[in-house]
Amino acid sequence: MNKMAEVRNLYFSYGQEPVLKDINLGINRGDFIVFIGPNGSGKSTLLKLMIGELKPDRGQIQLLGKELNTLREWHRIGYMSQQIRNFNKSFPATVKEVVAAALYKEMGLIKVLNKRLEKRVDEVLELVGMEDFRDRQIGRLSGGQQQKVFIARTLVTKPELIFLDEPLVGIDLNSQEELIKLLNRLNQDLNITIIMVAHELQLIREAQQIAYFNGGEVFLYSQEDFASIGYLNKDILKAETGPEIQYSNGGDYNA
Amino acid sequence: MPEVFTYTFMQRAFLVGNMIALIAPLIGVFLIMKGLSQIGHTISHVALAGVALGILTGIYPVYPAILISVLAALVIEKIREKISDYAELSLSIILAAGMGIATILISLSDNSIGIMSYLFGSLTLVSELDLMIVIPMALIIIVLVFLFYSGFFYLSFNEGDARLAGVPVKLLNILFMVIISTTISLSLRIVGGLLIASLISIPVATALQLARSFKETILYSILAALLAVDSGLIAAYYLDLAPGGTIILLSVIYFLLASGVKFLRERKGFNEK
Repeated sequence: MNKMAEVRNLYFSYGQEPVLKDINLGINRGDFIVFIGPNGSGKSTLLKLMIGELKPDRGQIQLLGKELNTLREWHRIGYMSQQIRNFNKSFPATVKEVVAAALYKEMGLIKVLNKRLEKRVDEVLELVGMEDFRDRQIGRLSGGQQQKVFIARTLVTKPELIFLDEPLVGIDLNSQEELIKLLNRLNQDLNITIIMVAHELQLIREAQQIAYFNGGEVFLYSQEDFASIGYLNKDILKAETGPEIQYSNGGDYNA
Repeated sequence: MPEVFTYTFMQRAFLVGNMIALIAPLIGVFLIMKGLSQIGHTISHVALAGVALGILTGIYPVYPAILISVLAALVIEKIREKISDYAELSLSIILAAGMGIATILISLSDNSIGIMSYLFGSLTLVSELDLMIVIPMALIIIVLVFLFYSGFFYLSFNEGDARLAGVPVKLLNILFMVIISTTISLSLRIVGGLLIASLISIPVATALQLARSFKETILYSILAALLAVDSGLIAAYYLDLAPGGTIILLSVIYFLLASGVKFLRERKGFNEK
């Protein structure tokens, strides 16, 4: 099974306001796809629909070849929401405790950590370079360090597909670079499929595919096609309503 | 042996008190970290309506207190799930309704001493039956929290992420509500309905001053509660004070001491930098 995620004829609206119209999207194992587009164009909404946090008005979503309501293997899927760092900063938990919590399903009858799972936590903290912080309280770390811990928590269940919603927001430039390297490693070395909402140019450049959201529609480009449009030369960080792109060059995706 | 430990009623009070000191902060840590401390207040007032009903009908009051507070807790959980924007307002309404019913039932009963002991706690009235109920129930609560420890932890940290990690959020939230209501109902005898919410929250606040992990927070809050209950019972006995009030005032003092230790520790750390 090569298809990791598939969206077919998907419609979604917030009340009367349509946000996504007849969206079709297919994502294969090992893909690295970035969702971009102006504010309110439905990027995060599609992510939330894909992990089942929102319900579509119409259409189908499959992950790992299964409809969301029949999917049991959620541990094979990781998700980092935009609000992930909006936790109570005085919460007394350590990095280890936060990462370990994600192993709930694997803990057996008594929901506490055993030696084998503890090793998994250590390994994943090492992978993101946070092994020296395992006993530190999460609320006392910097934004970039917290984000690495949450990536570790997302990875500790050994997911094959991860969804990330604006993982670089509110993080200093050095940490941004480290995180981009880390995401690249996850995708290329560990063959983890990445679906991500982002608007940082340096992150968009790393993706193999770019899904551009506008007016309720999604246009899919390969990195090469997208670069040739000249879009990357524009300062999208400052763009309020998104770039103007000629859609007539065949970017529209049909599953 | 000091005089305070020689009386059977004090031995019973210590046994029940220490069991409560184990479970109240144990569930308190999860409750406070979920930002739901108001629920403790609400359920304790609703439990009083159960107590009043028990006294009026001649049933052992802890039973109707558990029953009514569990029902109220399940309603609260439903409201919290469906209309989180007005959750706090709903809690105030349920608290008021509980207190209103309790007041009416109390006015219908002629046993005002009985109800007073549940409002403010009592040393002399802890019975054999209280022991028989509190000890096994408290042990069950401790076992349940231990069994689902990571689930409760994740729910307190972030409910949405917990759901994605496969934590049975709905089931554990309901179980948690049942545990809170039972704990509160069991605690009424010693600390009293008006003060039990404080025994759930103040030792946790004390622990938060000193703990470096979630596990330490649980451990320290239990130690703070045990200290408050034992010193409070001794002080209440010798000074002839209401045990609930004495226990709570002592927990506030221990909280202030822990805050002082934290302040000194941070200042030392700052100076060393």
